[in-house]
Amino acid sequence: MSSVVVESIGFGIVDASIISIGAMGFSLQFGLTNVFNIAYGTVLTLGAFAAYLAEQWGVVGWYDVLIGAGVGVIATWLIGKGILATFARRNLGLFELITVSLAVELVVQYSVDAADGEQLFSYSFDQGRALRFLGMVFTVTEVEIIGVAVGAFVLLECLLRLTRTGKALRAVAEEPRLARACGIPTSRIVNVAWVLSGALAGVAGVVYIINSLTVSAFTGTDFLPLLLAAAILGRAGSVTGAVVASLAIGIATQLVAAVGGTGYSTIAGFGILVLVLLARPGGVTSGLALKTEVTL
Amino acid sequence: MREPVDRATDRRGALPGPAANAGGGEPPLLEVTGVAAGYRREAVVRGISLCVEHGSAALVIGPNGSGKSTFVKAVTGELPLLAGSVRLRGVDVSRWPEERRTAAGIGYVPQVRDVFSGLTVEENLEMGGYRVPRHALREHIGQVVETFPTLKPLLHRRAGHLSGGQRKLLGVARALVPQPELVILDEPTANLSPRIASTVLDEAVSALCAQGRGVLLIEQRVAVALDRASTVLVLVDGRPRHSGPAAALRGKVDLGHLFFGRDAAPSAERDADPAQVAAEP
Repeated sequence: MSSVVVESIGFGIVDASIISIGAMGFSLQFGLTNVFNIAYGTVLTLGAFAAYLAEQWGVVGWYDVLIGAGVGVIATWLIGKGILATFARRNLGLFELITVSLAVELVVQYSVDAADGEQLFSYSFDQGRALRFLGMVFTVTEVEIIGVAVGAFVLLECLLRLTRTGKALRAVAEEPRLARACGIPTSRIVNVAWVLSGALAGVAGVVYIINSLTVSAFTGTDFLPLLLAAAILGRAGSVTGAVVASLAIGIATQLVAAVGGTGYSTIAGFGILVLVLLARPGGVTSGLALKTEVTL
Repeated sequence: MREPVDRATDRRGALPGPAANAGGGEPPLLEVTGVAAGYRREAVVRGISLCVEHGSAALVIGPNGSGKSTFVKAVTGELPLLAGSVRLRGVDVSRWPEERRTAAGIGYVPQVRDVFSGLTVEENLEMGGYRVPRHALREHIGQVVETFPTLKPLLHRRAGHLSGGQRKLLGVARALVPQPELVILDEPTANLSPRIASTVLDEAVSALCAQGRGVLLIEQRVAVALDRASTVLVLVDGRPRHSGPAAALRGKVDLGHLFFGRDAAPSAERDADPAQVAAEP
């Protein structure tokens, strides 16, 4: 294998780590609520801006991840429990709720853009020395980003597989009506999902800015398509699927970038999604496609 | 496997135990009176009354689209009542949400989507006992597995990988983990072969009644279900066409006559208990 390909795989793993953190959160949120919340990108942007502002105020290093997670939780709660739930109570259907979330995404995005003077802000973060591993090159910070993604995945899987709340999250995601018949407090469980997905979106925004060292009002929106592709490809609602799909998309985009230029990299991510949808149209969303109930 | 009645725990709180009614006659386990329910404030079923006693099964039958499942949803709390009342051991639970009714002792096995396919059998049972205190959950699950030994070797298998009969038994077992006093089975034998259906009815309805629980059974297999029921309610077009003891209908059920005939109930039944016959005009 040529060194370019091997190095691209390394870059792809880093990209996949960032995508997977966001995709896990999106997948969890969609699985529980059944709302394809496009405003998730806004939360990612706000998480990245939180890290930027924290740096301006002298808070540097990985503390920013905690700040981003907190901002992500608050933003997601306001969007989900504040805006989307209000519209859901007015009996809006799934498609209308997607439109509302798109509107929220655009309003916040252009508000931030107007407020910050349409700037691209620089963020500084020491990337550390370069490390070589199986022909791939990583900076210390990139290894740490991979570590954050792996840690988030392990924690989330342990929560979902080993704890009563986690099993209830899976149960409500699959059969909300049956869950209610079991006496599971579905509203409370959905709240847990909002908090977890908000935290993950915020963290995704922070690791994005730590890796790219820039942030703008469009950061989340630009990143959202790849994140959605990973969540859908990984069978929306499945955390493990989201991680595996993120890996495939991250590596594919970097390989295409290495061969044909960065302009084509995002196209590769969607190319995979289209190919899988063609090959296994019913297998991507699994049983969730049958769900029509909105649980906010 | 259980102590049928004394489990009205402090945690549930709201329902008095049988001793509370010692002064007078004990109220029925479930008493549905003049219930109307439907969707978007339009009644699909109306005028339904029914009682379920401890240790007995009440059977609800009717043709497709007669409103059986709507009626069940009104009892479980999934649908709000438009009229009438639902009382559990004498306590009016008509306005209680579904989760509270579950906690008060109603177990429900839906007709479809009755298990969590992505969870293992054991996890399904854990979810069934979500409101059971953690220290008692293992014991409750153990008791249910004893009742349904078929499930024992399957505990770590995903529910989605079970056969139809196993899946239905799991649905019933899941509902039994919190040890409900009333179990509602919505067409438990749908899509099952006659042999498996008979097994499910034996292992579910007969066993539950033997344990002192009340069963509200919605069924299409009228003949076999009548053998396990003590009372029967016939629903047609959302209204009661006939109600009375199941024994009176055993062996002489003409569904065409019962569901669609002008004469609502067999004459023998009318003679036996005319007060319980609710004939449609």
